[in-house]
Amino acid sequence: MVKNWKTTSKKFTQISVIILFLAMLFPWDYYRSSEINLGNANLGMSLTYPFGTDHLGRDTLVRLSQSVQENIPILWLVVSVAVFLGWLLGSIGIIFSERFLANGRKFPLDLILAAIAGAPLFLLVFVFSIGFDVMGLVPISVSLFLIFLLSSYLQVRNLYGESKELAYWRSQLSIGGEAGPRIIQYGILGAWSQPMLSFWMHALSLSVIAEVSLSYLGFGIQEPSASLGNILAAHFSDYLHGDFRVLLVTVVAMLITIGTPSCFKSLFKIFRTRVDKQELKYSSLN
Amino acid sequence: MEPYLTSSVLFFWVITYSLIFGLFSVLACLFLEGLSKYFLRLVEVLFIPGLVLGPLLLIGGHFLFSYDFIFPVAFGRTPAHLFLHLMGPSAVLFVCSGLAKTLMQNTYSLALDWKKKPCSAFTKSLGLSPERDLIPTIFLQGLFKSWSQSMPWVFGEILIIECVFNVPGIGFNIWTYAKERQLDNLWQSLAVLLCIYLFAISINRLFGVWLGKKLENYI
Repeated sequence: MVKNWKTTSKKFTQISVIILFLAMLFPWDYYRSSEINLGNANLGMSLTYPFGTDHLGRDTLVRLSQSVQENIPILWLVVSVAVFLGWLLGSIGIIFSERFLANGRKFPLDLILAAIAGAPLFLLVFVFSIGFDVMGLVPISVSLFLIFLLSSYLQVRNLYGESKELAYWRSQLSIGGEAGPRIIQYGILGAWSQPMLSFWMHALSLSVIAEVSLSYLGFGIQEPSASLGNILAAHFSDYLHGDFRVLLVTVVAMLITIGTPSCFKSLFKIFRTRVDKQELKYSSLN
Repeated sequence: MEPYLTSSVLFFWVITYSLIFGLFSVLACLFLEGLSKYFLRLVEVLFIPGLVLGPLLLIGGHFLFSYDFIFPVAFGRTPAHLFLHLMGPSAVLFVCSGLAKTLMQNTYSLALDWKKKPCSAFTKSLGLSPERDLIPTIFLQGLFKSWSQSMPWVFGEILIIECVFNVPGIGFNIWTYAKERQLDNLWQSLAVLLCIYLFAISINRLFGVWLGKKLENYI
């Protein structure tokens, strides 16, 4: 009973987070004005302005919605492409190393790549962004693309390193099985699927943290474009003067955006478990 | 205080927190299994970015305890006061780098593994307490494992934490040099931070390998 209640409340929370995230993606700026109006500066919460207005009189709800709409889908798309491309390159690398290198050894290049990928992610994004002359979403996206391409490539190589020692992998190899089908059937569709999904969702959350942090420091998205980071930075003196309205709303929006990928992961896990149970049921009936 | 010294104090407090929390985790996982599960869930929720927890600590400190964690504290403060003042920002760094989370997770899984091992059963059969004997082993193993996992995050988040709290350390210097486009100074500071990072991971790896060799005979 208690366990059921816990599972239900967990599911409810996860679905609520996803719904709130979708609500932030809603084009509020289509219905509400997002123009600067100094006459409305720093208004509190009301029916007209549910989250109040900022120091330039702009609707905070519209600003938050814009910060999610304009940046997050692009970031997530870029990171997802990088992750999938990294997995693809990693898989090709495994096939190549099995064919041409004795006993599927690692490339010497992998050591250098691992050293780069082991560096602090945020510092790497920061350094990449400074290297670009322009500031905005482009340098962040490019740097995140390169970092996650590298990380996902190495992740597949590491998973392969663990799997190749296992019995089923060796037996498939001993009966003359091809590397490609083995990677797809045993790896990507089998034992690797959960760690890969976790990595992908974790990468999406990290990309949001990186963008928000960089924009907070003034090296990411610049005003008048909206970002959760530059909204936080613009209102820093308000918090110190006891006005927490913008801080609380922005922090909640940030937590929802960061938490959405892990909610998707958990729901996918539940879905997968159910499908597996159904398949088991049907197979036992047959 | 010099920037390098300020950042070193931050790292010192992070290490101190990890030692205290590591010991607490080991004791909880070995002797209070039910409580450790509860803490594990709690710590998982605590994995939040420094950009969220930093401002919350500033506000909480200011309005609940009338204490300002933001620098400069005041003119004429002694180094001892500044040393203690950095406890707050380093606590945020400790939590936001995920060190608290990984410590609890690693300790929990290590405690489960070690309890299942034949050497624990053998100790129990002699009428001794395997839990008591396992404390130093799990404590050290959990620490080295967690440090190696969280080290990149500690060094990455230091930039954010120092900027949020206005702490004049290496991270804050990097930010200032980047803003002012003083590229020579920026690369120098980045190189110093990278050297400290490489030194830290090398030391951690060295001790990890040493501990691994010591423990490889235990089954």
